[in-house]
Amino acid sequence: MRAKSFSKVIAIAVALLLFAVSLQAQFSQGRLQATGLTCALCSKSIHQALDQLPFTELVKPELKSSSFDIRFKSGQPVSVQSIRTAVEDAGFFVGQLTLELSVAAADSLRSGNRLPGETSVYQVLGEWKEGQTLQVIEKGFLSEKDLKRILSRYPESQKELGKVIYLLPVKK
Amino acid sequence: MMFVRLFILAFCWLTWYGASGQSLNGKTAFPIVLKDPSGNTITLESYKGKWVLVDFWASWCGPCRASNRVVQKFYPKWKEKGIVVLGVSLDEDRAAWIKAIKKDRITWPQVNTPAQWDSELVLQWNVERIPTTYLIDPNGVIRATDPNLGDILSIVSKK
Repeated sequence: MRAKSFSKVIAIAVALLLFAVSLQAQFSQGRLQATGLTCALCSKSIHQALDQLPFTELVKPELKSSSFDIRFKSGQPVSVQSIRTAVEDAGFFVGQLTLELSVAAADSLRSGNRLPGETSVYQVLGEWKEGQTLQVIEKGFLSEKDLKRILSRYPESQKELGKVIYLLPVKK
Repeated sequence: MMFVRLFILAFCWLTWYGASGQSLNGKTAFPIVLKDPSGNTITLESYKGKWVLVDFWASWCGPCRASNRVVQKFYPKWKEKGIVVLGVSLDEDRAAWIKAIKKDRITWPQVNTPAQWDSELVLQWNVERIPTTYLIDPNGVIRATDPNLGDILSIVSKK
């Protein structure tokens, strides 16, 4: 009886934690590399499109990596698909998107490898270590060639392709 | 039927016209009153009587940095012909702006407006991407947008 109520409490705690994560931003900041025929950093359209997303707080160009540094609002869930749509509507493509976990999301990743998303679930490929950023591995977020190359290393990912958004831990 | 056709045509023209933005050529240049790296105020007005190439750029913009190197080559020749270049940087990071001026060995006047795309000046000047350049005549009228090297000399020599 005791064990049963204890597991109930755990289940409720986990549910609450997941709920808390889904309400907050899963990611605190990101770095976006956009590709196109012209200089992505130099165009107002892409900057404006990212700036107008409801969950972005600050968008800053970064010359060294020719990417945009994006800071997300803490109380808003981040939609990576909206980022992709914004970039594509501005006439560019996402070359690479890496994300940094929020404190709550990092907490929930310590006990599993899935994160609730706004419309789909995020799943980490391999093992995530403290402080690592995560690259979005999904069609439209990197080149087809790189997508195939990375997913082939994780055979289990093939089964759920399209159902979850994969995140690959990258060394900082 | 004719009316409908005309309406569709007018609608297409309006949406195209609205989306393409209006050219500033022929309009009076908007005032620029900004500080240079040493903190001195520079105004576009003070160059009246000279041709001015207003160049919107930023340290983080690769093509702008490449264009700096080209302007650097031609600037002595332009100076002889009475053409001034006024660089307007959109850098939020003042240190990065000053570093870029030194690195690109820029000798022409430089000012900075640190609000990027949403600054009033950038909106007024209709800067949608950088680099964007405007050639202003000695009367303060915008004569060309994004002129190439050949355009600059031919417009100035025609007067």
